[in-house]
Formats: sequence, structure tokens, C-alpha cells
Amino acid sequence: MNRLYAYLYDDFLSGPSFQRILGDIETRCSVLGIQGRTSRLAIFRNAKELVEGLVRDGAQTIVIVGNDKTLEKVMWFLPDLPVMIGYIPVGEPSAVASMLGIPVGESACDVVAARRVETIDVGRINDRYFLSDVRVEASKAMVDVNGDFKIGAIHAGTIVIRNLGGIPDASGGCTKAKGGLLELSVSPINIASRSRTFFHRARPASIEGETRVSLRTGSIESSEPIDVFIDGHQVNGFRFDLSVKRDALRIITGRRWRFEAPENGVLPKKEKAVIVSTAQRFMHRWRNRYTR
Amino acid sequence: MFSSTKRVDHPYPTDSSPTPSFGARSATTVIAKGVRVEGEFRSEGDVVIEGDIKGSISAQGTLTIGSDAHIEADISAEEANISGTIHGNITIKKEAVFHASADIRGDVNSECIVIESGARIDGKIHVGSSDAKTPEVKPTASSLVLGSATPSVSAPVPIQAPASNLPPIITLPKENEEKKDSEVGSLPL
Repeated sequence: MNRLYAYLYDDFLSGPSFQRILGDIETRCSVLGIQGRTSRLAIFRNAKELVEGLVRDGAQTIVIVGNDKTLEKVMWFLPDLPVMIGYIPVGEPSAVASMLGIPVGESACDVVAARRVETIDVGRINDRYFLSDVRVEASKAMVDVNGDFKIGAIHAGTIVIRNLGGIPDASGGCTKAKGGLLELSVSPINIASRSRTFFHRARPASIEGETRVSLRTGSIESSEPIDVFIDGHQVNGFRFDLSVKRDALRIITGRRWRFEAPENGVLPKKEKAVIVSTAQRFMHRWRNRYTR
Repeated sequence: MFSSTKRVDHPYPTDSSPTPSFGARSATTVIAKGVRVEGEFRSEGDVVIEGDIKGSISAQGTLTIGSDAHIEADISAEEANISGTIHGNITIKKEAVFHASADIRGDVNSECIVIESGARIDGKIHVGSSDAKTPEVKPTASSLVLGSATPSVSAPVPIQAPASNLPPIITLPKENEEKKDSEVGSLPL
């Protein structure tokens, strides 16, 4: 067993449908020589204390086994620890895995073994870190941008502060978790029209155009308590301070890591074809080597 | 029945908001309709404003103000295309174009101004480079409404330059008179 590696399994992987894939992953890790101590996240278990214990025992690479929600469960404290992060995605959602160039399932073990490390920024909101985004839905909250101005929706709108990912704009790029900048997106909601004529139904509430600006520091302020979703974790309050911690997280990525999501949210066919052909070539070589 | 459409997985997070229609993110900032900004808004590239802004706006590129925009701010930009409502002073380095739906209450300073028929401007207009010492033109009417078909530059507006701003007229005596004056010992004022 390699004591430098520690594996953190999500609680949902204890189900019977995941036993086969977990067995394949553990077998592959032992073949690659990266099998390490395993721990399991649970509802009544403090994830931070669990990971700190693994670090005290000598782990230098913490490998998260689960999906994007698993990653978000531990990301709020990981940048403070002197560890490298690996990710073996099992099941959906796996959007972050796609952006990091990590394939889903057993193949991710090869990515972890290759140890291709990227150092990325992490967003900070109050006392928590976030990897992907912070969302405020249907709110009149205002966001202070770099202390220069405040921006918000006139009636109500969705506010998203993004560190990694998102839908790309016309230029094709989206937030890359580099450069020390967060992307602020404000999407105002057009109030529904109650009036209806003989020929037309009442106009429902719709989303107006989106406004995007960059920010280094800022705050979300509201006169009423608002629900803020930090990487999916819900927090309630009146004010939330925002900042970026540059180069805060060392994470193992794949060779085809891409922080620019495609426009329709789906990998282009060319990328899929390359992956398939690489696997086919590997199988062809393996067969030629061991069947002659 | 025999179509090849497959269920498409979306590995990337999708937002409920539509993809914005502006240009390159690094070049153009869009303040969409329904968004309000309060404070000092600065941009190094082009800016498109369709929302509400209160404070000040500074753009180093082209500033485009939509017809639904409502701005209570002083504006400075390289170039401007204005169609909305502005309460504040406007300073444009190159060309300022005021479209028919523009409603301006404030002073306008620009090297070149184009005003479409229907635009309303209530304030002082200074056209030309800031280095040139051109006298300011003050319309006598309280509001300058340019609604004629003829170009606004030739609009018949009575102009009355205030006498106090002009230097006093000094007539210097001729040489013969100078000699005589020198004999007298003083020059006429």
C-alpha cells in the first residue's frame, strides 16, 4: 500500500450498483502502484477532520472518488491543506471532471498515476472556499465589484459568481480558474405580464439578457436574508464577502484538460472519436503483444 | 421513427440564462436591460449599456447606449453611439452620434458630433478639439430641440455671445500718431 495516497469515497458509493466499478478501480490502482488508505464520507462524519487525519498520517495526495457533488463537499476546506488533489469520477454529474480532462470510471486511475498537476485559483466566500460557482436565485441583492460600483437586477435576478466552468460566450471561452478573477453574471428576470388579450396569453416571467463583469474582490449585500448556494451548499445571510485565492489548489488533471466548455454542453464528436481510437489502439497493441 | 437523434448528455453545467449575444468577452462589456449599476463604472474596452446606471461611466473604447437605457451619470469615452436617456455631462474624444431617441440633459463635449433628427439635447454643446480656443456657443432658448430636416449645424438659432467674455477692443495708434503721442508722453487707452 502506498501511504502517500489516501482515497475518500462518497457515501452514495456504498450502494450495490457501484460495487463492480469500485472493484475495477481498486484493482487498477493496485496495478499502477497507487493504492492507498481509504476512508468514506458519511452524513454524521466531519469531512474536514477526516481529511486532516489522513494528512497527519502522511498522505500527500487525496483522491476524491465520487461525482462533482463529492468534490464540492470537501472543496470548502481543501485549499488550506498542503495536499495534492486527485479525482476519480464515478457517475453523474461529472461536469468538473470533463473540464479537468478526467475520464469517468476506471480510466481515471491512469490520470491519477500520471500526476499531471495544474495549479488553479479558488474562490472564497466568507470562510468557505468554492471551486465552481456561487449562486443567488431570484434576488434583489446587489454585488459590490472591487469597491468601485454595485450591480444588480432592478426587479429580481439570478446572480452567479463563477470560478470554474459555465456556459461560454460568443468568443468561446468561459471561466478558467486562472488569473485571479471571478466572473460575475447577472441575469435579470422580466416580470410576468398579467394582462392578456383575446389573441395572446399572459406573458410569463422570462430572463432578460445576461451581464458579465470580472471581479477580484467584492461582496453580495441584501437588505433581506438571501439563500446563497456555494457549490451547491446552501447558506443563508445578509452579506457575503467574496475574494479569490490565486494558485491555491494543486489538482491532477488529464492530458486533455479544458477549462473552456463547448457551447452546447457536449463534447464535440472529434474529441470523442480521438478517445475511442486511442482505446482501440491500446487494445490492438495489447492483443498483439499477449496473444502471439 | 428512424432518426438518429440520441439522448444528449450535458457534462458541462448549463445555466438557465441564454447565451449572451455580445462580442468577445475581453473586448465588450454589456450591461443588459433590467440591470442597474451604481457607482464608478470603468472599462478598458467597448461598453454596451441597455440598463440603468447612476454614478459615472468611463470607457476607453466605444460606448453604445441603447434606447431603453436610463443613465444619471457623467460619461467619458473614446466614441459614443447614444440612443437613450442621459442626465449628466458627456465628454467624447472622437465622434459622438446622438440617435433620434436620445434625450440628453447635460453638457456635451466632443471633437465631432452627429445629431439625428428627433434627438433632444438640453445643455451646452462644445464641438472641436479641446486644444482649439473656440468660443462656446450658448443657445438663448432653454432647450435646443433639433427637429428639422436640415443638418443641425446650420439650424437657425439666434446666437448672442456675451460681451463680458470678449477682450476689450484696443486700437493702437499709427506710427505718426505714436510719435506725436511719444512727444505728449502717453498712449490713448
